[in-house]
Amino acid sequence: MAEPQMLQPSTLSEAVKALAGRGAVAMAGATDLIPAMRKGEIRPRVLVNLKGIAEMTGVRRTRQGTRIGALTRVADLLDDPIVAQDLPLLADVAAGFASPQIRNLATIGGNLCNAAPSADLALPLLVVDATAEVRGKGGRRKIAMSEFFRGVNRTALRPGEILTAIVVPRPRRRTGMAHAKLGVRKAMDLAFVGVAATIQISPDGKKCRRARVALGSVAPTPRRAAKAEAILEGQLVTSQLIDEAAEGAASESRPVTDLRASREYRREMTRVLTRRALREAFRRAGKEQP
Amino acid sequence: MAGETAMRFRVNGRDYQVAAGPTERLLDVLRARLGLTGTKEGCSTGQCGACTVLLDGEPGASCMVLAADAVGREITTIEGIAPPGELHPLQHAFLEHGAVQCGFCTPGMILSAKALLDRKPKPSDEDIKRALVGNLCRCTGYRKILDAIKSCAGSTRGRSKRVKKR
Amino acid sequence: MRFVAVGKRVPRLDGPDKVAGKTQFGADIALPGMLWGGILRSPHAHARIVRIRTDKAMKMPGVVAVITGQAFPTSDGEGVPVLARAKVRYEGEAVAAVAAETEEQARAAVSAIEVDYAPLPYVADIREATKRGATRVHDESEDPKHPNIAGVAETKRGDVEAGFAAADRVFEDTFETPWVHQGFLEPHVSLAAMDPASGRLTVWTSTQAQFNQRADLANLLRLPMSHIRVIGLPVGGAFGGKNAVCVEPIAGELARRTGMPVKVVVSRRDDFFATRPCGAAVMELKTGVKKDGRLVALRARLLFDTGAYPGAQHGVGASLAQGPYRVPNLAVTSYSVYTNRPPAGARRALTSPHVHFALESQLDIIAHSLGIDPLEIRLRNALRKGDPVLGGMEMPYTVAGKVIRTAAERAGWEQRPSRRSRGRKARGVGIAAGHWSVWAGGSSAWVQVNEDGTISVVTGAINLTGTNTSFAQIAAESFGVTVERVTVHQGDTDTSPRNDGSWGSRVLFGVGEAVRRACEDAKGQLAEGLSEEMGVPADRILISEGRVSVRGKAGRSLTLAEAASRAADYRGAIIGAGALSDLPFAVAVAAQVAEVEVDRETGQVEVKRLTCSQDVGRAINPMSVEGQVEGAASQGIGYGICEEYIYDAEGTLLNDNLMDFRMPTSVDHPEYEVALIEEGRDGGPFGAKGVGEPPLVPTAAAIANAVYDAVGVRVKQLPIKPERIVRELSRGR
Repeated sequence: MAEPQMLQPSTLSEAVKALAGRGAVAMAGATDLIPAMRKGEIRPRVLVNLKGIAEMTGVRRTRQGTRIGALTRVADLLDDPIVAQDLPLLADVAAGFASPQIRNLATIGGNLCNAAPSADLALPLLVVDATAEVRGKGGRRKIAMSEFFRGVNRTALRPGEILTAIVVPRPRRRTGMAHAKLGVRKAMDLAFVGVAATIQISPDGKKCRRARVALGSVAPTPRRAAKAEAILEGQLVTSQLIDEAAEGAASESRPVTDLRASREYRREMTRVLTRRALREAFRRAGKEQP
Repeated sequence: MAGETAMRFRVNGRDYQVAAGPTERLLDVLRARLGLTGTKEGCSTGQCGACTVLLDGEPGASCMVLAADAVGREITTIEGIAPPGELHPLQHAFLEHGAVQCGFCTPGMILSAKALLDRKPKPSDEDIKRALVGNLCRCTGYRKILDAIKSCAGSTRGRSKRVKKR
Repeated sequence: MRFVAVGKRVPRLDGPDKVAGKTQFGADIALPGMLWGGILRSPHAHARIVRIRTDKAMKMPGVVAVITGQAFPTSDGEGVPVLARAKVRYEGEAVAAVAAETEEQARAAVSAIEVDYAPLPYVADIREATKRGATRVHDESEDPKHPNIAGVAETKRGDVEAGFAAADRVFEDTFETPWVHQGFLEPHVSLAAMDPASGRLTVWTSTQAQFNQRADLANLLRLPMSHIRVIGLPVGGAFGGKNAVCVEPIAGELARRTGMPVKVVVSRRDDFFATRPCGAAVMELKTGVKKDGRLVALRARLLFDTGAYPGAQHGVGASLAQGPYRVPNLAVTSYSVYTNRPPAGARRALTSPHVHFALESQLDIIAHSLGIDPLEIRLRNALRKGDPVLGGMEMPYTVAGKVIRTAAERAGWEQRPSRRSRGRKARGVGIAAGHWSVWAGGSSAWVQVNEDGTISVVTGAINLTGTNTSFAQIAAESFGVTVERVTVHQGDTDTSPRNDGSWGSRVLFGVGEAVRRACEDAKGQLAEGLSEEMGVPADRILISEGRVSVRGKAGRSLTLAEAASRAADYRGAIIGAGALSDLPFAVAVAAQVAEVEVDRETGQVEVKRLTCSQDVGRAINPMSVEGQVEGAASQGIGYGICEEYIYDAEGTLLNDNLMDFRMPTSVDHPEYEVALIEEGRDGGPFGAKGVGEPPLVPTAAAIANAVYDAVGVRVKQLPIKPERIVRELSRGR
């Protein structure tokens, strides 16, 4: 096997040019890439190391919302003061991501672009209507997170395009967020099922004005549970309504049986975890100051 | 080997110039090129923690780092946490508490613990357990490892101790 | 008895190098001019090898040698071929090997070897495998009416039918346990080099048994034992997984053919599916009891999956089937069954954890069904001194009841909540016991008293668990000196006396006693050497507390240094030797109480607390013994709730990595409480016996019994998966 060439562009336009070459593969934290290369699953001719591109780093607030550079490491999400304020759910999920040894290497962009059905970090982003910022030969474009995942290990990125940042809209008022994840071990486990949820309540605290539910590991991609959201929105929040929404989420899950769990169990757990996440999100929404 | 380029690494406070290939891992450079075999390879997929080193003081799985990516970073291996002939307080505590059995996970385990204590000198039990989730140990059941680390809480910034000669 | 060294918490003597990262494991060693070995493995669970072409591989850059099954006309001591001949019988079976100048070149050459396979139907399930008409793993030598039986063991006592007739109740249950990996963190690794002048082969390897390696290598490579030197390296975990030969013969043969040193490192993936993991089991128990819970009859039919090649599972399984209990009438039939799975190897306590999962779960079923406290039923049946135990022995002491009672007391058994909590999370407490017979095996040691009174111990036993540290304590105690005056050297097959492997908890028991006897021998030599000078018969010379004195004559004494230096002049050297194989079995009993929390909705089980008690005879080094107990229990937790091999329909192992083969992490462990009981004394040094295997034996059953206590679900199949609990709970609704 020929050894690939490593390129280290320092600007996005250099990176885009480098990625146009035959057999070029983008590289960030490399925690998914290195094992894949060693197994021979990918044989890049050129490795384009994105880590030198300043534009892709850092977390800051912009007019559009909170911009999280794609090179932001999972470990940084845990500690970042802006993330802690604007999207604490992302910090929570990051805390349960693999191990410190991996969190210090893996990047948010890499986790999203790897597009595993279980992609942990996708769920909090899906429930806040985040947007992916993308740069390619044709210039910049934006992709809604809900449109980003296209299949197992497949994204909406076109060949040669780079995910540069995630933009999270400013936090909404009276909104609670929660997530729930299920594995066998209490750490270092790929979830059987993951759920994130947000509920925005009406000023009187009784109705659900807006709901978002995202499911992981129960379909080829992380995905929103539209049915569950529709059941909740505009309705008086009761424990029965949450049960119905959880049922809805389970019914629209498309799990498979694999080595980690059966389809039936995953569907049932989608219901259980959605209910837990929604209850917690509702409780937290009530605690928010209007 | 084809495609090798010269790279400069800073390991345990010393500078090294090494030729390495583009897909060579930091683990390979440390073990095969620099002879720092205290860093172990247990799984090659970032799941066991035996290859843990500190990168700018933070634990990282050296089997998941391309050598080229480690250039310019301060790398610390088990060989570099105490002066020659001395033991770091954590190393000493691992010995005294019976936290070492086969010893294969030990270097990585100690480095993860060191990173934790450097960042948070008085961690809770839960903090310690959480800091070690990426370091598998099959021999001890972890109790003695936790005891060893707890015994060092608040004190590891102190000086290292002389190795007891037996 | 007051001790100076025994019973002290002495840090491991090999610890300073280990914490410093200086210990050289196999992968850390590089020899000048070393080649790298690579191994081609079968992608099929069962196939005929039609043709192997190695010419392309031979021409690859850097390649020096390629070998196939023809290189090894015989199989190893357990009947496993080194490289497959004519047929492959499991996924991952080694088919060919190469030696090349670099690791990458070896890998590339392996993929250039062309093999035509004709896939065959395969059999993976032990029950299917024993049915008439099943696919046969070894078609050439089997009885077609009883296919795939690799071995049978039967044990009988009393009249089991009469026992059932006399019983008030009879219980019949079937239990299953999965394939699991031992979980050692250091993958298998070996190096070999042949000296062309002498024709001697040296093999450095991560093994539990260097002398057994030498015997197997002599047979496989057709060399006299005197021409093979095996150097057992520090071992990064083994737990039974490094008992047998693995890549040693491949490294050896490649070194012989190339005349250069060869290193073979097994990848984590290959270590999962191509070494010798622990096999699955199906255990059918029929047990008759009196109303008061007394056991009167047990019939057991045990099926152990031995994988593609023979193993010893059935014999050991049969010998443990009564548990630590008195069973007057008993009939056990135990089978090793061939399947197209990897050859099953040992795992800590071999098949004892399997058998006790079944026995102790069923005993819990019986207790609940009869309305007897699970602790009480165990105490009523616990083995007492003089009770027959399997293997034609009598229980040498009454200790089982105390071990069980101690675990319960320490865990607060009487104070445990009597009703199951109603919330989402349910707490439960379960108890289980277990036993293991410790066999000393061939054990030996040399002890030299140096002229300055320091003591050097040499053994050929591989130091896995810190036994060298305990040997130092034993020798120090024998001479009455401090541990610092003793060094212990693990020699290799050239430089130390023969020992059996470091398995079955035998090393401290057998080799430890050999060390003690060698010390006594050396003391005798010292006394003889000095008897003329001191003008007293040798048997009046007393060596203790680091001094040599004459019995009954106060004031006339020498330091050990003075005595040793003079005795060396008279005798040349003081070299004590100890060798034995005749110690009676020791019976080690352990009991554990698990406290668990079960999430009723998700079925997740968390072990919150594990209380372990064990009879260890004498804890030579309590810190090390506790480490054995906690470590074994940790493996038992994995066995109980999260570890198993998962295969797809094509017979391919799906979880060949440490993310999907889930061993407990730092946050998956409970609070441990360890109680060591030092009562059942056998022939071991100062009363010590083996301690490493027993504490894995009861763990999974204790957890399963706690799960039942928490949510009323009886899990008869390991691991206790969340999914199984949820399924059972919804069925009960």
